[in-house]
Amino acid sequence: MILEASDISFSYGSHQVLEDVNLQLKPGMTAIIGPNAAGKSTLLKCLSGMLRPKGKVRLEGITLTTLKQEQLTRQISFLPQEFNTTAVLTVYETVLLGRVHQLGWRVSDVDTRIVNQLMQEMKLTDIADRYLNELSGGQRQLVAIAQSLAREPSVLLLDEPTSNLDLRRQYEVCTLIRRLTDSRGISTALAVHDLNLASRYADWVYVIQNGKLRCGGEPQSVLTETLIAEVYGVEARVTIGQETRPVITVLGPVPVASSDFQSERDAGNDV
Amino acid sequence: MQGTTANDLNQAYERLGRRRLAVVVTVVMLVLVSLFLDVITGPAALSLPEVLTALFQPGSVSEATQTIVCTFRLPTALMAVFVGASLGIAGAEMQTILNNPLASPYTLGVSAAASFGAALALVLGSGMLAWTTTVFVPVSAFVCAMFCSLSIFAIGRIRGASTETIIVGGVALHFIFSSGVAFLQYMASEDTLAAIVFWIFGTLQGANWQKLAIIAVVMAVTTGLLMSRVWQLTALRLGESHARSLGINTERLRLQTLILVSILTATAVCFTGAIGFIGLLAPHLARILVGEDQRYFIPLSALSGAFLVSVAALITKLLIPGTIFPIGIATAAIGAPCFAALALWKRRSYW
Repeated sequence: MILEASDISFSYGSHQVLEDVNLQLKPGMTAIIGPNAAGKSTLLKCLSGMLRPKGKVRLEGITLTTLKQEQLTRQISFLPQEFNTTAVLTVYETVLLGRVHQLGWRVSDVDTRIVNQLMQEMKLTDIADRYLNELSGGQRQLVAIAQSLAREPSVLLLDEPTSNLDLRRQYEVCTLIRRLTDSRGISTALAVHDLNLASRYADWVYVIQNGKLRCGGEPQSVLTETLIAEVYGVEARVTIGQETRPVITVLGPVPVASSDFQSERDAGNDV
Repeated sequence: MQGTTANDLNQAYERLGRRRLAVVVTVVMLVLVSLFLDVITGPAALSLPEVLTALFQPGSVSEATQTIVCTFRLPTALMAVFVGASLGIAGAEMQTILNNPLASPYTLGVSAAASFGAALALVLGSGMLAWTTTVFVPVSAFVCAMFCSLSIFAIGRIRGASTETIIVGGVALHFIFSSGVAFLQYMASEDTLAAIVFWIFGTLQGANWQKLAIIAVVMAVTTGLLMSRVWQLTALRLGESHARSLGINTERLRLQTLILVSILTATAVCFTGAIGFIGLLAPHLARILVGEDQRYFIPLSALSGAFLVSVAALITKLLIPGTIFPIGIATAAIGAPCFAALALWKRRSYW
């Protein structure tokens, strides 16, 4: 399904967080990148229908606000960044809760089959009956992702799903999300900090800066040295890796605003 | 290979369900045993056969025995069970919707409000004795308890209020109503003062079949409505943003639940007075025993509450033979150390 945002703006009180953002999520994987507080999470919340921005968000041409909550929840699954809970629930129960709107008094075979399959795919079977409070931050994050996927959504919005995972798990989870995205035809968007993850797994990359959409497109056209320096204030080298996807090597931070950076470095060379 | 693992997962989940069901059944039995012991003990020296005959063959015992068992002991013992269950459920859902382990009808001032209502009725109605204790006191207690609950919710509706705000508001209400009660006590005549004090301690005496029927009906209806939302309530404990992202209208769910719980609490405490610690302790016991899948958590909170109050009722009769002291003293005496022990024993491992 295609989820489209046209001219959406959002502010918390007088603080404008998003301004006239236009973008389209198509079946496939979209990475949303940008510095902290750029508005990535707010954008995802607006796209999920949790927040109601100015402008329009449409799912297959239908405005989200006209959809019933049930339809909305069934189609669009949003995973918030934070998952802090003191609930005394097992991993299995937590993943099962992804199906909260389908669950009956007796848990149906359909629901358990979906959960079982996901638990296997995400290698969570060994910790299925552990309680949430016994898990590490990374394990919790995996459980939360599994719960999101248990909803079997058409649009999957993940807010920094890999922030607590170790290197290997980051790639495993992204590979899994990529595979499910392709096999189920999901339109997936994930907000990430790691540009190499974005570059490697995403079909499209959107860059958010100060609440505005700076640019978007295929990774190789978006992730350039200039853009990284300007958006993140970081000096990076971009080379071409597998499947012509850019590989970013960060050299170091730019201590001052990026436009000043060039002249300052030139001045340094002169000495 | 994959098939067996899925099967294993299913079996493990079913095993968990069976284990929890076993816990629920065990506690049901404990409640029945406690109820039975509660009925066969009392100041009047009745033998076990006499009590049993009175219960099962009402015609063949003396009228006095019949009256003691069926008019006093049985309704009082059942009252203990129903009030305990009501408080257990109320505490469980308050902790759930406020996401706080210290929430309960007692700590949030609902019991104090009921006490205030009762004290007010006793002071104002001291002239018309018959009506005062049977109608005026429960009604006034109910109204004040509802008022307190709805105030808590109103505090929660204030823009930007978090669940912590609601807790703080509840604690403040508790102290406001307590000071109101103290003021009324100070103003009251000696007889009225005695009545107020007795009410505040919480008492099951005065239970009758009508009151029991009211509590039973209210409990059945509210619990039924809560049970129809078990999954949403379970998901609510994953945290505000998470529950919302699951498509749960958290605000509406909280409001509905709080209203149900308020009615439940107000009904329970308006007849019996402030019975402390049950609403706090019962959900914690239930959580340790079956976790927070509300399909088990709600029934077990009810059963734990019922068991605790029933045992406390038994203790109030056994401790000083020949007399029955107010049950609120017993529940606090049992509940507070248990609660402290739980906190120390479990510490970091949960909540």
